[in-house]
Amino acid sequence: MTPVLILSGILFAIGVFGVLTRRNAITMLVSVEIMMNAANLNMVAFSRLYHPELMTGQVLAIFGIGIAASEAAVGLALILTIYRRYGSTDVDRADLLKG
Amino acid sequence: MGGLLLAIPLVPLAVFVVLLVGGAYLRLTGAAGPRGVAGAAGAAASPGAVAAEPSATGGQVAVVDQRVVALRAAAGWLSVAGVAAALAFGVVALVAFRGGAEVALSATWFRVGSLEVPFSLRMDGLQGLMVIVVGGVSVLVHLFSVGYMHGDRDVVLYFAELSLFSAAMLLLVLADDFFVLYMAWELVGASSYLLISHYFERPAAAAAGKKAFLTTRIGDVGLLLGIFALVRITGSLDFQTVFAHATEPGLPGAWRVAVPLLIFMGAVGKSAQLPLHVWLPDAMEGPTPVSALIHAATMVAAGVYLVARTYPIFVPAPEALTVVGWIGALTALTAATVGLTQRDIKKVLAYSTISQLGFMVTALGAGVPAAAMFQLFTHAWFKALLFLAAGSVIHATGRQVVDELGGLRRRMPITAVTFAAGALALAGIPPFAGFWSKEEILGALAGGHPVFLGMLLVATFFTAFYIFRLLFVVFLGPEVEAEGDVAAGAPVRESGPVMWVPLVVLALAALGMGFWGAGFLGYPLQKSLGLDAGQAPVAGPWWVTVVAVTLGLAGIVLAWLAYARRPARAGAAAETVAERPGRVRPGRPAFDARLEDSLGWTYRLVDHAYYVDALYTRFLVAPFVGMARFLARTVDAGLIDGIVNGVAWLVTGAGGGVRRLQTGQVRDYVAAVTVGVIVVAALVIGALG
Repeated sequence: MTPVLILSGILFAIGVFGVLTRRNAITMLVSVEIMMNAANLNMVAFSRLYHPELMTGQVLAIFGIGIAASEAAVGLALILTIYRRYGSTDVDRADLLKG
Repeated sequence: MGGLLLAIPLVPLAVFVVLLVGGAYLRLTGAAGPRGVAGAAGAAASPGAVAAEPSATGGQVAVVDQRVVALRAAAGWLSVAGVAAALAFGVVALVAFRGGAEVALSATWFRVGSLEVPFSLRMDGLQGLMVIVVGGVSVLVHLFSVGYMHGDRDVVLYFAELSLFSAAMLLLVLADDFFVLYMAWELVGASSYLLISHYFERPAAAAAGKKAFLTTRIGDVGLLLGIFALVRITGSLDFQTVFAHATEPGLPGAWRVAVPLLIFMGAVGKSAQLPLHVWLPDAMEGPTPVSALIHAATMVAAGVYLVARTYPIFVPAPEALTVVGWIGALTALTAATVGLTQRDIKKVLAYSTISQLGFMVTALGAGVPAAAMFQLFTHAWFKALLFLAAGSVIHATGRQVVDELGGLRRRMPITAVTFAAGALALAGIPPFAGFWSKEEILGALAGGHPVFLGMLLVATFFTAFYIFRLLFVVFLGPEVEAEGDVAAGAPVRESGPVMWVPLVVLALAALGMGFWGAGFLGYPLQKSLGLDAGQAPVAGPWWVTVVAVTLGLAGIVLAWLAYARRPARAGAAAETVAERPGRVRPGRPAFDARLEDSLGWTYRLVDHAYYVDALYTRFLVAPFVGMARFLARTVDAGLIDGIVNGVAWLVTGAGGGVRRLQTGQVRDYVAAVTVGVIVVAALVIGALG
């Protein structure tokens, strides 16, 4: 099991790194998707480890993929709005909440 | 009979309410125009208020104005009727008292804890005397005011205030317990304030009212503390209970002396004795009839009356009586000297009043309250006469400085003669009223108070001198034409009958009232008032009378020599004025200037009333104002505002600092979340083991 968990950890770290360092909104969205896939991988792995007879984790992963799809749709819609507003997808420019 | 007693102060009070409500109603409904009940009189002369109205409502305005005219015309006579009715009730009550009836009213007003606060009135000899003085002088002054205040802007308000004053004074006189007494005492002070400040648009009048109120307030605090002490010790407010306790077993310890002194503090304030006399000369800013009523005849007598009324508390404390006597004698002497130099007629009369009150207070201190009350009685008539005569002069000429007055005897003969009667009474020349009462006081002083006797004899001489200086300068000599008044068209002439009738009545009173209490008739005043034998005065030695009258005559003769001979007036020659600027004013009595030249700083010391006002301003008012300024500018603006602003500054600063956390950058939030998750995860993992 360890190699699978290491892989998911690496994927999650890649996703966090991408969200923290990229300014492009689409790249950030892609990074978020990578993090979600790391989570899905974990769910399948732990399900197999502790309850091989139940398939709970696999079902949850499929739900996660579906939710990821809708999340991507919402996220892309937001990015589209940001693009219309600022003329680019650079999130650094969307800082209206600055105090 | 109690109801009758209650009616005495209630009638003028009702007049006060009617005039106040009526005036306020007309003012609120706009009938009186923008300047208050002023309207009607001014309306004819200056068409301002009426002309501003649209012509369509012209008829209505005329009708409404008619109401104002009616109220203004009725106000004076209504208040005359009010005090006349009060006087009539008072006489009826006094007659009933003399018939042997107990004329008293007593009820429990309310209870506070174990203290029962009564509302009691009583007609007794002393009260009867005061009711006659207050009521009698009030009627005449109200009558005089009808003429004097005719056309005044706030004539309705004036008569309302004057009625309130009469009601308060009558209540004060009739009070039979300390609560009612103090209530009336403060009412008198409040209405005095209103009347002094009647011309409130003049800053001097407004300031004078404030000064009178605050100065007498210092004394009132003493009276209040004295009452508190009496309630604490005796548990009662009722006069008889308190007096009985003060006599037997007596007030404990130091209270025996402290309580009478505290009560006397109230008298010092109201009766304008040293050192609280400063308000009275300033109070002359009020209308002259007010000066006559309040600041000569009645209100200032309240202090003397208070001491006489509470005399049983003073009797066991000879130390307190000594203080009373000294204050009275010093006041009588110093105020008489100040009267020598004043230029304003009313100021002379004001200092004269202070001096005469000093005579009364000295008599109180010397243990002869009956003599003090007799002097109060006679003084009320002739001083009211002098003030009203002065008012007549001021009304006719519009001037009240001696420099600008002279030779009025031809134009105002009635005023001149009546003023002379008042002056003779004040100087203590027999057979005028002042002679008899002054003899009572001086005669009593001859038996055991030689120092007081000496001081008052000197004061008697000065009194005769200053009042005849006024008489000679104002009424004798050549007429003084000051620019601007007679030239304006209205020649100076005698006032109308509504004004000279009170003068004549008062002049007759100044001539005759003394006999009523004089020794050779067996003191009918004291007998008719039912004053007991202990209060009946004793005749003094004959030489006191001779000395006193001689001194009075000497004062008159010297005043004649100084002021009635030519040249009576300082010339207006330019070089003289240039040589001695300030001392030689055109029209100034020549003797005044000579006196100032020869006496120098002594004259100026007296002329400025011993700089008491300046001292108070320097050492009391200035530090007080300084403290107020310190509190306002340093403590309030610095400390208090500093705390408030500091809190605001702190919150703003903290908010400004915290605000920087909100960068608006998505990645910063994500980083914060990540770090938070890692920390929480680390904690959870650590906790699980």
